[in-house]
Amino acid sequence: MLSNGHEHYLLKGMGQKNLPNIKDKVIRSVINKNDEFYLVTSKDYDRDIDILHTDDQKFNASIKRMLEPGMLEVKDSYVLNHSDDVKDGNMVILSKAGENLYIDTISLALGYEDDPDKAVIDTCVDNSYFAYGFNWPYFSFATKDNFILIYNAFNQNFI
Amino acid sequence: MTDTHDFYTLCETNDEHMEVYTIDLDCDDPFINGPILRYGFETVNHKLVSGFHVRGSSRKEKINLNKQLMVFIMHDDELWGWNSKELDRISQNQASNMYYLSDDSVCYLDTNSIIVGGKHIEHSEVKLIDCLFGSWKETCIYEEREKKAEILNFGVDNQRRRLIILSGIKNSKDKRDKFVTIFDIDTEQILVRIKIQSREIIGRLKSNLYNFTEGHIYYNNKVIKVRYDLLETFKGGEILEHQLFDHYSDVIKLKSSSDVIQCDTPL
Repeated sequence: MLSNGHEHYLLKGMGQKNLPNIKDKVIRSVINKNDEFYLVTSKDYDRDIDILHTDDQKFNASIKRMLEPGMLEVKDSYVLNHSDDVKDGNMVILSKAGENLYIDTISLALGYEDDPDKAVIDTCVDNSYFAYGFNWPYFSFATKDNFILIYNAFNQNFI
Repeated sequence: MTDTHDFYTLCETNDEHMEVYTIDLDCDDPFINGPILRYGFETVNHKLVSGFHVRGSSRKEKINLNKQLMVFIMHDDELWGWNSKELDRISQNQASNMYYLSDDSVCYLDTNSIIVGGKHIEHSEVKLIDCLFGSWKETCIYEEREKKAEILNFGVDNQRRRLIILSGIKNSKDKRDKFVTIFDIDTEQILVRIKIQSREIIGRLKSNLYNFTEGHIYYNNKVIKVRYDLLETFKGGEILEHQLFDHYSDVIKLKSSSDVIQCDTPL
């Protein structure tokens, strides 16, 4: 599998295969399992990340994520099969989008169903802050340690 | 944070429930009160929270108009509302994009699948929820007139009470032509609708990664100004994409090229 993100070639034996199901998406990562590849793809601006398979166009998993250019970095990934059946098992992808860190778990079997969103069986998000509320002069946010901080712009003693 | 200076927070508990707590910020010695609302994960089909809005009660106002406390919670694609008595599901189809318009009103996108000319179309309506005294009223404020058109995403300028809507219509090559519509909520009129080519504007509106207020689209260290003033001058005349949108970059001078401006963050 050769790709610079925009151009993709799959060399199989002496032949070169085209990958029409990628369309105008950019390959963010290639996940190898035995002699096949899963492709993590998205457009520069997108509302989801699509996981495709080089040999099987029926496979499609879709992770809902708002993306802008340069925002998505796939840090690591692996496929865990429980048996020789390629449809049996999960794929785990560690990615960073903006300042959020995500661990997405994808069921390979559900990737063959009609709704690609349902293939994502778990998403874990990590961030330095979570819920954020604002109404002048107050603003607040929750930390990952389950603290909620409330500030008043006119009163430095108010927390 | 409500206009009545009350703080509300929605928490997940270890016993698989959602709970709402409140703090009266006008109180001399603020303390946590609640839970004022508690419901199980199974009530909302184990769907994750993606939006939360509270209309504060009028109990602290000088003249108490008897406005009840109301809570709206988006659980993935389901919108739920609580009027201090019952928790009810508001959206019947797929809900998304809950936006704050004012303390008394929120907007969201309601989408269902229809078949037009043998093709599958995601038909969406922008709905407005207005809080009354003890209940709420839901109205459709915008939908595409053309059956084949799909709303891809929308944003709300809550200062000027206007919507910016990105919609697409599939052409003969099966690719979507994109259109931007600016709609005035109060007059219920389309101020402008143009076909759009700019990859940056399409991508920005599609991804929803921006803040839209007072006719300005803020993202990263850039601003796109929507020329509301020209819309009044042109009054129905044709306006072009480059006339409607003015682009400004490097708005704030950064010390280092690695510094970033991030919207929607307290950091």
